[in-house]
Amino acid sequence: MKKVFVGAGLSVLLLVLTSSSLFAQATASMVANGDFEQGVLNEWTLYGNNNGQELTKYQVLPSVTTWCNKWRPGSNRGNGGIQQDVYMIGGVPYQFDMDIAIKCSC
Amino acid sequence: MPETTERVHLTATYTPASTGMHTLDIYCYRNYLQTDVWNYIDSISLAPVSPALTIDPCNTHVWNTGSNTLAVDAGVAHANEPYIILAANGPTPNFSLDGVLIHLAYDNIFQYTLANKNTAMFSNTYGVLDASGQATATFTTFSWLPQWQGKTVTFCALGLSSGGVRPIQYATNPVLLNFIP
Repeated sequence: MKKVFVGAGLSVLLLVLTSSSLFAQATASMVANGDFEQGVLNEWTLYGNNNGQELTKYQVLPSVTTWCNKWRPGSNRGNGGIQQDVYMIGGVPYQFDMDIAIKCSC
Repeated sequence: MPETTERVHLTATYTPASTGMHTLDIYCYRNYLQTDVWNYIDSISLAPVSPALTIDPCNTHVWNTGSNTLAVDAGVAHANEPYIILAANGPTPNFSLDGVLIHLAYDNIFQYTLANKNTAMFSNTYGVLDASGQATATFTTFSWLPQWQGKTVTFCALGLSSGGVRPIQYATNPVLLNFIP
């Protein structure tokens, strides 16, 4: 099984997919429960150190409050993630999109 | 310290080298320098650039009461062209038709969805794409097909030639749907 890897943090907001990057627009998704809209983590597998992870409501997009997957990657937290398996066709380009808000008292 | 919020939309494309199950991994890095930091992930999506087939709800179909929307997006290059959405027990063994690789097994479910296109169970699975090259169909199960219970069924959309016939123009990605009680 191949891995498509995406990392998120404050100091280094990193998006790594194991091939080239470009910008386009997708309309729908193959990701199950990609919006966490029921306030649960169904379809995702938690792994690693998830201290500081929870489902909560927040305005990631301005003026829209929705369920979000919240992480707090502090000094004693983070180093964990969520993952799920998707069926992909070799040689076909897929677009990845993610909306994220980063809040900081700094 | 003042509290600030940065909002970011991340986008990228990825072309897998092989066909099969891949793991989408969202990883949160530990930040040793900052403690008062919160990341809020609102939405994560992944879809073929085009032509694409997606399904909502994704992955699961609640047996006997559930309904899933299948969305075809073939792009404006295929606007107003006919399409058909078919299903099978799985994406393999796949086969080629008119030089197009179709990620469906040619099995009893394939033949069933072909014979029952545009019925109550497979609403709008055969038609013409709109001016944007898009179409939506609906898959609904009823109690009269219990042999599907517990299965994982794969859907795929095919682009047809003018008049809704062969040769096949393209085949989308397969989407997998698990039936749950």
